[in-house]
Amino acid sequence: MSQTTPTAVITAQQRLWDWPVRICHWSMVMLIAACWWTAEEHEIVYHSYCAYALLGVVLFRIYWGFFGSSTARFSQFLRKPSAVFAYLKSLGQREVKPASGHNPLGGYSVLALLFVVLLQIGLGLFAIDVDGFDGGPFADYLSFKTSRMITGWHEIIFNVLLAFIALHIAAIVYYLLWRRQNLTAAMLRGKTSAPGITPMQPASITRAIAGIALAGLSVWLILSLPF
Amino acid sequence: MMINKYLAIVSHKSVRIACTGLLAAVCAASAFAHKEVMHERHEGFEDMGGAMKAINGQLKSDAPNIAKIDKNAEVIAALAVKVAGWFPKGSGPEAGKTDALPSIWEKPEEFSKSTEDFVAASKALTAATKGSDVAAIKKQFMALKETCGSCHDSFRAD
Repeated sequence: MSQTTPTAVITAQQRLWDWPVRICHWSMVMLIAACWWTAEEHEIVYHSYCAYALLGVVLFRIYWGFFGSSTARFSQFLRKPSAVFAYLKSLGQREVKPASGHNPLGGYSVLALLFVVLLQIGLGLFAIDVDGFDGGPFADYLSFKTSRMITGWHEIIFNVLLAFIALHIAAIVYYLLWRRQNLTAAMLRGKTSAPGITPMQPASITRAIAGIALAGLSVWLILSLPF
Repeated sequence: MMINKYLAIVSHKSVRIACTGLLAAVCAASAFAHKEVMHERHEGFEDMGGAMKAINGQLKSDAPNIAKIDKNAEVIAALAVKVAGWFPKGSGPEAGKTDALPSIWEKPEEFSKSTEDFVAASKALTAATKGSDVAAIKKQFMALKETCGSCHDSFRAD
């Protein structure tokens, strides 16, 4: 019966990613793109606004990694090195049991991406544009030369970030073409019809609100640091 | 017979090496000739950036120090007049690491107009910084900043 009726397949869908994880993910995509574009156009004021918003999203995501839904938690997706090696060995296989969240390697990819984005924002706070006019709020405390040196690192780390993003997209394409699993659809809709999934355990809305408040407060505190 | 002899000389290994060496030396010499001016312009732009940053820092504060602003405005004005001379032909990307775009030499009239606008704006700022009208200084500073940006848009990579 379940083989013939498509509705049975739909009802078999399991929740995989909660809305805070999905909002964090897609807002990071948009904000990183916006940061890149505003930097290209030397619109440093707008670049800063996008970066502050991105900082808030990243801080919330880190909080959610400790207090959020089951699939959002670092404790669930940062696995032992042996699990990562076992996963790497299975890369050639087409038929694999879908992961109930991040796969063992993907978990570390999340950690790496969050770290690189945070580092990038941290450097940006001290960077200054070539005209010596617009810059990060902490550039005021540095000489132009020092600030420009940090801006050079800011450009290098952006390329590192692009490399990690490329790797991330390559992994998704690999899953789509080789393993016939559409991870993007799951990150958009939050659900998956993949068999054998352990459903995500959501966290309360109160925790999400507390996290948003905490992330917002943290950004405000960082920006108003007197140094 | 003569031609064969001539060809034999040219195709001789040591002659070929000497010619390649000579060519390399000529290239190196021309790159070296611009090395000094490229270094000077890099330092010059860096000093102007530092002065811009210093002025901006004062203008952002509650009580801008006009003497400091004036000192930095003079630094910019003194360097601004040199900009046009900092880009001799051949001192572009072909001569080494630089953000100078080939458009500088492809559109010489536009580039020289840009440098003239910059010089004029730098003079207008030093004129304003001799007074005590912070609003007027700010206005000239923003006008100067515009000349930096518009020139960078057309003639500077990234």
